[in-house]
Parts: sequence; C-alpha cells; structure tokens
Amino acid sequence: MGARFAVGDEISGPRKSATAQRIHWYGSGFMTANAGERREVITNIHTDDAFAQGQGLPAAIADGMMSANWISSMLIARFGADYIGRGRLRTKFIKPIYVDEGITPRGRVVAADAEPGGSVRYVLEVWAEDDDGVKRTVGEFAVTVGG
Amino acid sequence: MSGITIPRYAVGEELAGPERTLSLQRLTWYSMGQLGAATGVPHDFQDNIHTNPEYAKEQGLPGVIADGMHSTNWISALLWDLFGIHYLETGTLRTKFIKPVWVPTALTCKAVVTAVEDAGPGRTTYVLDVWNEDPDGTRLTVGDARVTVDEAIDEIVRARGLEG
Amino acid sequence: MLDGYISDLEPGDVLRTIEYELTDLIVSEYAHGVEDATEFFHSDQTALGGQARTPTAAHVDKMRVLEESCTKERRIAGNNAADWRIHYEFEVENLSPAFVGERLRVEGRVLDVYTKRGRRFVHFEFTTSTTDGRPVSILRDRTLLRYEPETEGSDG
Repeated sequence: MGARFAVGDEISGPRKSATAQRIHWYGSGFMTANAGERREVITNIHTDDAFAQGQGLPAAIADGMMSANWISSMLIARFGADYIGRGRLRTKFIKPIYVDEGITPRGRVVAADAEPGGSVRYVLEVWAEDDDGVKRTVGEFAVTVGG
Repeated sequence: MSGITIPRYAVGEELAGPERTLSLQRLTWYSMGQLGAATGVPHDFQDNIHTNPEYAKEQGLPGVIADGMHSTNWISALLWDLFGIHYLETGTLRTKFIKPVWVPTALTCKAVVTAVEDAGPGRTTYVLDVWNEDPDGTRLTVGDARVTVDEAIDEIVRARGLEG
Repeated sequence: MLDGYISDLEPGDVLRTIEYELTDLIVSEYAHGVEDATEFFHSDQTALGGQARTPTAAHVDKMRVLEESCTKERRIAGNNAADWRIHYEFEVENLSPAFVGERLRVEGRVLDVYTKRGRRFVHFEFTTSTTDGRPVSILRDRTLLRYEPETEGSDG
C-alpha cells in the first residue's frame, strides 16, 4: 500500500457505539472462530448485567478485544497489506467500556524511521477514547512499509 | 453536529465502489440478518437456494444463487458512500435483477449521473443509472436512483434534535 | 498445572500444541463480528493473493490452546469457571499472513503468574506457524483471573 506519514500525524477511525447488538455479534463471531462452526454467544459479563454484577462489575462491559479490533481496523485502512503481513499491535484495556458508550479509535505517529532498502518503520501510539476524550484502551503499533 | 458534506457531481460522471466477492459466507449473513430483521429476534440462516449448494442443485440450479436484494443493498451502500445523509433523507432506488448472481462472483457496483435537476433554492436532484457488474463487465443488476442534495441539511438534521 | 482451570496454571507451564485448518468461516466470522468488511478477510480476490485472517485473530489461537490445556474450563464447549477471566493486555506481532486453507500449529506457554496490587494475572505467549514451518504470529497476553473492583479491563 505504501502509506506515508510524518511524526505527529494523527489518524482516526469511525466513532461506534458499543451496542448490545455489537457485543452479541462480536461474542458470536469469536465463539464461531474458536469452534470452527456457527455458535451463538452465551450469557456472560458482556451480554448480561446481572451476570456481570455477580462477578463484581457494575454492569455488562464490552469485550476489550472489540476496541482492539476497532483500532486494528483503523490501522488496516491506513496500512493495508503491510500491517496484515508484518505489523505489531499492543493494546491494554485500562478502563471498561459499558454498553452503548461511544468509542472512537485514534492514533498518532511517534516515529517514522527510514530503513535500508527504502522502507520506513512507523511507530504509532494508538488508543480508543470515549465521547469525553477519556482513553479506555491504549497501546502501540509498529509496521514497516515499503522496501 | 456541523459540516455535513454537500456532494456535487456532473452529468456523465461515473462512480464506482470497491470490487467485492459475493461469497457463500456473505449470503449466509444476509439470510440471518434478513430473518432477524423480519422476526425481530436473532435468527439462524435458512437452508435454501441462497445458502445450501446441494439444495440449490436439487432445485435444478447450477449452484447457489444470490438473493437479488443483496445486490440492491450493495448498490444502496454505494449511494450512501456518494451522498451520505442526503441519500437517507431523499433517496429513491429501483433495481431489476436481470441476470443471476452465482456464488461466488466478484461484483463492482457503479453509477453514472444522467441528469442534474434544480429542485428549488439550495436543492439539487441527481438522477443516476446504477448497476453491478462482474469482472467481465456484464451487468447483473440494473436500476436507477434519485437523490436530492439540500444545502440546508445541517439545519434539517439539527431541527430533528438528533446528533450523529 | 494442566488439565485444571486457567487459574491452576503455573509459570513455565507448556501448554498443549494444537493444530487446525484456517477456514473461510473462521476468518470471515471473526472479521464480521467486528464489522470489518475489508476484502482481504472475506475473499481471495485481492492483492494478497489469498483470504487472510485479521491481524488480531491470533486471539482465537489462545482460546483453542487453553481449551485443550485447561480441561476443567473448556469455554468453547461452554464450561466456564466460577470466576470470569478479565482480559488485560493483548500484544500480537504478525510475521506473515495466515490464509484460508492453511493448517496452523499453535504452541503456548505460561510466561508468568503474578500478583500485582492484590490481583492475580497470568501472562501467556502463543506462537503460531503453519504446519510446514512458516512463522505467522506471536501473541503475548495478560489475563486477570478474576475481577476486582479496583481493576479495570475486560474479558479475553
């Protein structure tokens, strides 16, 4: 894809609400991928407030991997095949995301280093924030483009 | 919310979406989504000519055939990409399924602006031919659409009291 | 210790190696589950030359390995422990795309089990390759064994 960025450049993905339906889709898609056959998500801390409260949470929370995937989708849109082949993503789920909260994935280029052969190694700070700008998921991303 | 895009196109302008393969997996999701929407509860897919290759052959078909509404929805998605909220507010779409879409087939949705009409102060109506085609350029679904773009869209949406 | 719960794992435990075929269903359902319609994950007619799994799908490898190693807590089969596990950190390094039709081998180990501010974590590492030896991904993952009110995170 040959994306080109400079240190300080910012990227973002679409804002999405962590709806109960999306939580259901993620849970079912995840279980299906795990099992290799169609599965529906079961009652758990993501789908049921009472179950979540039984586990000590105030209410049902979105699976952290939803925000990691939304960050990842933002990066795929910018880095495409370079990311799929050789990107590195780390995410830390520092604050829970509750049902129906709006989440926007963002990133900022913190390094863009030329490498032998004409490639560039990008490092980005990445995060998913709520509508008040509070970070719920944080992390880093690194990828080599071109060359 | 502010700054909804006001799209502008010229007569003869050709527009296209990405090439996407209409796969068995996508047909299965469509089946689940359609039944879920129709019944109001999550629904598993139905075994039929759109989702089961063996059943399709028993019915005399060479293989799985896509639901025509799948093509319509992908054309609709192109209109959303081109016109955004204006399409939701005023769009009309007509589609005709002139050739079967066998699965899997790579499809590209396209549109061409056939007329640009004055629809009143600050309003422009775009008339388009729409279609999807396979990699050989054969049109499988054809149709037409109309979208009125209103420069006052920000105020219209604000007056409704919704942010988005 | 294997064949117990995830909470029975100990530092240095080598988890059972698993193999599985990467199918269209597995790849596209995971992408669909997060509404990623990028064509790379839904068909083979792209510049990649094959239908690839998402860069985050190594998470599925973790679940499959734990299913075979923690046999009292087979979550895919629907047998959950009393304490729901909370995902704290996900770190994946992709070394090559994994394509539909390839057979994958996943090895896992427990890097550490530790307590921090009264909360117990497991730190895993999962290495995925194709069965003919091509490296695919390395996943390092931290999971909180049970939710505590002061800890914020979510399941994985």
